[in-house]
Amino acid sequence: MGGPRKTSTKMTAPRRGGNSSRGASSRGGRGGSHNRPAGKSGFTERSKAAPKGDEDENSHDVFEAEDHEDYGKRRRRNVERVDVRDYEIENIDSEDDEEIDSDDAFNDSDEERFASYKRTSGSSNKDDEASDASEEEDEDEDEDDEDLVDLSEMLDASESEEEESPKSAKPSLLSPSALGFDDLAVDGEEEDEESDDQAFAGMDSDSDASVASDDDEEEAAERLSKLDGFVTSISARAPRRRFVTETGGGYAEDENAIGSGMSTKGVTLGINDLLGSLGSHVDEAEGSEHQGLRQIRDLKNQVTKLDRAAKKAGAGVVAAPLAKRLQDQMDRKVAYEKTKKSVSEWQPTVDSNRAAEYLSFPMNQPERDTLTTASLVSNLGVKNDLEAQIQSVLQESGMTDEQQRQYEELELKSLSPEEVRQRQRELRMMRELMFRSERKAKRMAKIKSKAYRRILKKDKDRAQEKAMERLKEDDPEMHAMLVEKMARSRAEERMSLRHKNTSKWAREMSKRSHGDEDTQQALRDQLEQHDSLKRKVYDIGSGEELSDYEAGKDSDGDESDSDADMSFAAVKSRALQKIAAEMGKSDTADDTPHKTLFGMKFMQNALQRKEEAAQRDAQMMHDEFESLEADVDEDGVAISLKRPSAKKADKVEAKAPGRMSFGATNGGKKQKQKQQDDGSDGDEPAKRVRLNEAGQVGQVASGGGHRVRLAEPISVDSASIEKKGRGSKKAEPAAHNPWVSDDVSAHSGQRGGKLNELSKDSTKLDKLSVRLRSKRKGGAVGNTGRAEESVLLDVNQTLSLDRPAADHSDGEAGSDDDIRLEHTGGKRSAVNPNAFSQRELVEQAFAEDNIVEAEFAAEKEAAMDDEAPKDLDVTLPGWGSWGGTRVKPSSKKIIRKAPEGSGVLKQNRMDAKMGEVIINQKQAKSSNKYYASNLPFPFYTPKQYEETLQAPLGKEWNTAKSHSKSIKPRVLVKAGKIIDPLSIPSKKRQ
Amino acid sequence: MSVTDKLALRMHTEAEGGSFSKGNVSHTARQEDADHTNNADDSDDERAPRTLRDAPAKSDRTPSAKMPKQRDNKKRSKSSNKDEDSKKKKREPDAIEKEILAKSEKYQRGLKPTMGDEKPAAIKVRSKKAQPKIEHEKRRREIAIIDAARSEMLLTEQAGYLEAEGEMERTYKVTQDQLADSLDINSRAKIFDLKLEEFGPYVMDYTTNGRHLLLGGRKGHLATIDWRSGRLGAEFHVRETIRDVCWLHNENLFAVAQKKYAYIYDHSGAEVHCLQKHVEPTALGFLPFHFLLASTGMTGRLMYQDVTEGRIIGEHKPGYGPNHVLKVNPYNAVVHMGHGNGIVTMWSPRQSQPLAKMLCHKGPVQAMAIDRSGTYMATSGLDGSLKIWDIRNFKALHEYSTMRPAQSLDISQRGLLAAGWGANVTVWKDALVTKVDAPYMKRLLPSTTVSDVRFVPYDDVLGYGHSSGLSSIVIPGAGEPNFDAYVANPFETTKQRQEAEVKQLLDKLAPETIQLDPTFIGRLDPRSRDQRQLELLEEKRDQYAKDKAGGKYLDNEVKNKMKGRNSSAKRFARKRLNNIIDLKKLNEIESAKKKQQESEAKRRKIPESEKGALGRFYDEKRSTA
Repeated sequence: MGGPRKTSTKMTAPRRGGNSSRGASSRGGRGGSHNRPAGKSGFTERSKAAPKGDEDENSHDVFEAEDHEDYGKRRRRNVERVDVRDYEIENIDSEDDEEIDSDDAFNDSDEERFASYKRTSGSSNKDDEASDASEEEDEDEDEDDEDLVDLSEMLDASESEEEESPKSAKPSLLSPSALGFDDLAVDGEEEDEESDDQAFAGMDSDSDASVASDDDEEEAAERLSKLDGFVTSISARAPRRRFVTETGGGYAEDENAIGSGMSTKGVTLGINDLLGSLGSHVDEAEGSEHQGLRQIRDLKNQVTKLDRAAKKAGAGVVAAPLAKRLQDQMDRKVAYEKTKKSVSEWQPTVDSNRAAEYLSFPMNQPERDTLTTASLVSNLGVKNDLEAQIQSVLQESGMTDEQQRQYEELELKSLSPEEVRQRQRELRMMRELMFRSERKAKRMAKIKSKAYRRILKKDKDRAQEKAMERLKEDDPEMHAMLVEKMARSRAEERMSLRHKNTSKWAREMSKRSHGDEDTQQALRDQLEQHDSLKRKVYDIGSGEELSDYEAGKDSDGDESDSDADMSFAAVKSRALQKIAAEMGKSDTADDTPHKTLFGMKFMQNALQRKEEAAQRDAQMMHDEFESLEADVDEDGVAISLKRPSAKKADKVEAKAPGRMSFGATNGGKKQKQKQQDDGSDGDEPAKRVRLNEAGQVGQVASGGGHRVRLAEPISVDSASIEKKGRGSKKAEPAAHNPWVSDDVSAHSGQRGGKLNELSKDSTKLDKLSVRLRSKRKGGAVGNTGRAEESVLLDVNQTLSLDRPAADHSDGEAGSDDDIRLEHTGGKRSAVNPNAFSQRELVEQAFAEDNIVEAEFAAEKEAAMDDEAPKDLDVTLPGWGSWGGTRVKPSSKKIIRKAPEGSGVLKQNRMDAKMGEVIINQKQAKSSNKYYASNLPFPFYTPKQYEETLQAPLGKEWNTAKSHSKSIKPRVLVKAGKIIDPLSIPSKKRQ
Repeated sequence: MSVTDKLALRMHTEAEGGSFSKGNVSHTARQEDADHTNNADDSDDERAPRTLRDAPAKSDRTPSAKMPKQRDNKKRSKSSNKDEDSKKKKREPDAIEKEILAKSEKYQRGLKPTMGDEKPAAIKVRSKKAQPKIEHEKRRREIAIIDAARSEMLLTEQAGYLEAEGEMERTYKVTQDQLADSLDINSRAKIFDLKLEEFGPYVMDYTTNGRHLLLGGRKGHLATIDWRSGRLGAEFHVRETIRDVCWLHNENLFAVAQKKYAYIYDHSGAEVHCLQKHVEPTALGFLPFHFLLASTGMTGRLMYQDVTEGRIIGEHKPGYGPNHVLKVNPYNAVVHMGHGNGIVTMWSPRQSQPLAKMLCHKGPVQAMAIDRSGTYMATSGLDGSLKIWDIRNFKALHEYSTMRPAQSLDISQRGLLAAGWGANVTVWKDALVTKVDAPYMKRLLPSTTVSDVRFVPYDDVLGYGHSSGLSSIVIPGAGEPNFDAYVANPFETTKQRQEAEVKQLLDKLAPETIQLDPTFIGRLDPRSRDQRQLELLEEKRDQYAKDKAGGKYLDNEVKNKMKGRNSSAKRFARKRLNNIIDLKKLNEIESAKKKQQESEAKRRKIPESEKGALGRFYDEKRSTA
């Protein structure tokens, strides 16, 4: 059977079939192995055989081959290619091809010729099929599969068969004609796939004419005869295989036959034995056949290799091929396993996607990072060398934020909280001072008074003059140099006239300046010069100016302050006097040190000047804040700012937090002295609370620097007490601060009216307070207690809901009735005895009246009966029994039981234990439609389901966020985005 | 959560309640046992408040996420133990989380949220595939609850009460004048008295947003006022007795119970409808989400009329005689009626029997009020008692007594109870939750009789009508400080009102949805399958009987026709044949007639022999027939 196939180790059956589809079959080359007469049948057999073909080498998969059409097409294509090659002129299309295949490929002459090969195919019972080509198509599918065996299988088969029927196998394997034809039949179309094919293709090209054409039959015949001769020669040279030739063409490919042959001979036939002879002939073959034979040799080598490999693997004997059905089953199993494996790789992905709350396509998009300050800050760092350098420098010098902070923390740790506070206060003070001086400088710069400027200038000039004079004395050289320098600059200025742009030159220039860069530059320079000169004129940097300004301003400030006190003439006059005194004093103070210092040496002089400046500063400050500062509190409530010494001018000391007062105590002292001297109002700056004629507080000055005026006079009762002079010592603390002391006085205002009614005269106030206090302690005794009670009784005039205070503690425990009785008892004694009697009447009226209750109970009973499940008496009188006047009606009753679930048993009712309540247990029919009849699918218990119902969905009941989440579609697809197919994460990782 | 959030939350803890949700309205999902505090150890009749507003005091409300939400007390203690055990294992939530959890209670509706990264307990479901879906859903709901609790920090307004400073001070002693001194100008303007002595006593009603006031004098004086701005809407006289007035869904329409019928007027005072089915009405009530006008009257009947279609939805006869107390439960839209024998009945429009009856008083029920969470009802009877009821389980909580029977009651949004009796109006704080022993505020207007007390929604104002006009007083802490514009907007513009009207109409609920427990919708049917089948059959039978009685099947009874006999072609042919009248046909017809007559005569004429013993009756019968 598979003789030629044995030689082509890797060739698949369908391919071979395809190759030989036309030419080979027509030649009858295939006829050696298959006794198929027609090409068409050959085609079908090939297609059927395909599944058998070795899957490894064949690019077509198992299923493809089953597709007739597909296969047909491919085959046609192949054939066309063959045609092109073989019949270069003729264009035979596939239809023609087919026709030739089926009708002409195996004609009578062929039949004659291949008569000997007719029975080489699988089994003898296929003879009729072979003759009837038309019926074959369906039937021979099965059998052909048997015919076309894979090489490996075939090898197996050959080995297994060897034992059984070496005799019958030999001829088919060794039949040189078959071999030769097969080789010839092999087409070159598979060259790209298999080397063997190529090999055959080469041979094929040699034997083109013989293979392809139907017309050159004679030539083919010649060759055949040649081959025949060759074969016979082989057989002649191999005498031990003589029996092969004996069985020759007409052997039946019967297993039994083979078996018998084998058994009779007892010879094991190896593949090498078969091929060995081939190899020996190769060298002696004719030149024209050399190439083919060489290929045969290659083939042989391969086979031996294979054989060796098989032996090495220990397979030794290859098992018999399984039945087709079993083989298919196994194939399917394997295929299923494989497919399952490949598919199950997707399972986790699919599962996770299925379980995902939301899917958004394209998937696994990298999240767009949202920029937040935090993220930006975290990215801050050293990025280049320069920054690194700076960073390192900062680090070394301890200037980084962190270090600074640490340092500060350390510093703060070493300090006591008091000191820290002190420091903070100092800092605050400094800031305040700076701010003020800045403001002052600004204001000064704005002063437009020419007189002021003139005076300022004069002062300045004078000062300079003095300085120059001093310099002249101390250092004449320097002086001369300075003088000369000044004169020079003055002359230059005058000369260049570059300080004004009103000059003729400037005017000319500005006329021409359009477009000329140089002239414009010149003009700009001039303007700059002018500006700088101007800056010189209005320079405000020096302290002298400030002090000057301060002197002028001081009076203003004090005036404005005293404005606030306008209503109080005494205060005002005092303030004015104070100001005047201060001015005069400051003048003298200014002058004296200058005179004394004037004659001193230069260095000492400079030192002195420094001190002087510091003093002036202090003075200025004092002056300024003096205006704000009112009478200094003797209690030390206000902060007094000590006059700073030259050493630590900035050190400021505050006695107590809260109000601040700036200025020097020295100045204050001076001022006080002055005041005392004047004697104008040295009487009581300490007294802060001023009383007007009505004994009300008109003015309260509580702080050091501030006067507080009240919009309305506050009446202080203690004042009157004071006036009366009774128990003044006791009352005094209260008098000082009516709000801080006992709230007696505060209460007194509110309850005045009522309490006054109780007390006969105003002196009872003390009594009352004592009484209240004692009440608070819990000791309400005697008269006071009674008075209190009377007040309390007045309160509860309205409703009976109020209970006496005594009930507060244990009132809850009593039943309602108790409470009422208690309460009404209280009422009767207290307010309105009639009210209770009325109540009593009502109660009496309704107490024994249980008609309503009885009615209700009956009603409830009726409702219970009505809603209880009822058995139905369906007895029809006279039905099923005798009737008549003297016949007793039957006592049998037909009762239909109440259906399950209809009605409610009395004990099961919701209101069974509720007393005077009837709850309708009938389910409203109209509402039944709103119930769900079944538990919806995924839920397991009604509870689960009903839980979901309880959560509202609407945006009215949810926050916008959770609402939008609840209505978000499960699958989101971004418009215009490419959605990649799913990927397996595990694969990706690989 | 950022630091600022934390801060904000912390600051907000001071703020009391304020409903974020629409939980108070009847068609919303029930805030079921939303504010169960740790009342497990409390006595049974000391019911847990349902809302934050009802809670006694802030300090009493400990964060109690642990507490279960079961309604019945038996289960409660058991599961609370269990819960606590499981809680121990979990991560202890920090203070802020606890706070949020505590706040979230009113939003959770039976679902307990977990904080942070805690995973919700696994749910057993039928399908493995559905498992994650359900869990996601659950998680989403939990987050929604937390979110809602968190968003409370957006409620900026706070409610406050008058507080006594010492033991000596009493808040009820504070008069309106004293209060006015410490109020801002706008609030001060809310204290006023309208002197309308001619046509009193007055009944009144405020719109749901509290902006408009409807006044009805007993003797026929009607007026609508935008009372804050003092703008008068319509004012006219109906020239007959007015017994009650009631706004409909907004300030455009109102109903008036007049001497004979109920009428509907529009904002300009034009009469829109005369509701003649409502005979001699004495009390009106409006169900805003169902658009039903309920009335009761001298006939003692309860009428429901749909004001959008005009249909009568229900007409019930309690059978307890004339009746003048009717209130609508804002939570479930059940109408409560108080009767002359001390019984209070609760009604749904589609059920002819009351949903429940309670015997509340030994004398006639005089007034009634229901709080907006639907938990508490206050009734006053002519027996002089004032009772507080828990209407979830029909139990009396507290009983108070008034000097004279309270003529009118009202409960404010934040749970203050006002009673008008004689010339007095008294307001109690916390009277619903606990038994208080002193009123919160009160006012006496001598020589008047208070007829109607109404709190203004979203405002700390109480208005009351009396015999000589109308008074408006300020009661600090009465109104809900934070309004939800989805529910009611006190600052509504015309456009908003129009939009809201459309929405209201679209969201109109069917009358069948009114039940004591409005959350029944969508629940599993409690009936068994067989029972359902049976009832369905019965229903069909009833329907058939009804239809038959109504004459539905008389004319076109069902014929058993053979199939294929009536093709159009044949019909045409027949018709044509019938139309042709020729001699032959006429003859045939004539002969047929004759034959018929003959047979008739033959049938009539029964031979004497056949008449038998009863023959003599035969002719008599015929002659009579």
